[in-house]
Amino acid sequence: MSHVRQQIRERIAANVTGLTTTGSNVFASRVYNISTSELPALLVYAISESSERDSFLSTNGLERSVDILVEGYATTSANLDSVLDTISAEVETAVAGDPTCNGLCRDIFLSSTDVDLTPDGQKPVGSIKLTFECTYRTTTIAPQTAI
Amino acid sequence: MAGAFLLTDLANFFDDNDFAQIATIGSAKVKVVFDNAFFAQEVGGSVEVDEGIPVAHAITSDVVGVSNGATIVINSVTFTIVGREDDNTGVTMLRLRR
Repeated sequence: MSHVRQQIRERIAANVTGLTTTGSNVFASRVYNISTSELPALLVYAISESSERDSFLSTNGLERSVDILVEGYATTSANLDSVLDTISAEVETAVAGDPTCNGLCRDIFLSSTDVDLTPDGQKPVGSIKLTFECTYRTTTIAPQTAI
Repeated sequence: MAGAFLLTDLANFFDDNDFAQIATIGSAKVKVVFDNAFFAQEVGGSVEVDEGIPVAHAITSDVVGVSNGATIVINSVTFTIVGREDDNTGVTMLRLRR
């Protein structure tokens, strides 16, 4: 069984697949460049995690907080910021619609949003980075199982 | 005059039977050398976006009255001119956007 962090990442990627604007252009943990023909698109990453154990020398509970980054990319001749905000609304709604990631986590919420617009290239290109903070629990000896 | 030798060769450089092609700016037909070089664009995300940067090189005297915002049609594709750079040797590079 995979790490719960991976299960959460994959669950969120599935939840944001098929949205109106980005459709099936969803890529998990993509490291290669993306072409304009693939836009609009979403990229999903687990970028960092912090954890805290329940008690000293405990091998039991470990509370973890993982940041899941959902990046939206779009290119359009006009109103690029509006397209990115539409992507944001669709992603936020999809993630909020499954607040426990199918029972994998205790809580998930949007903790930050960043927007970048660039004028180079054939059309303006932009990205919107949505960071979701997701809290889940495992034992220290079984990170593959959510508790 | 520095660069003057180039002016005598411009007709060869912009021969539309060779590198150049006919573009339309308004009602005018202009010979241009079109380029769409690869560009990996940094957009603040985890990956870069691959695309091209379209430019059209023209004889400066052919595009004297052309300014930013004008449209140019090349190979049936309409672009907007968003910048022009005169090299002062008789050639102007038009920066294009779709």
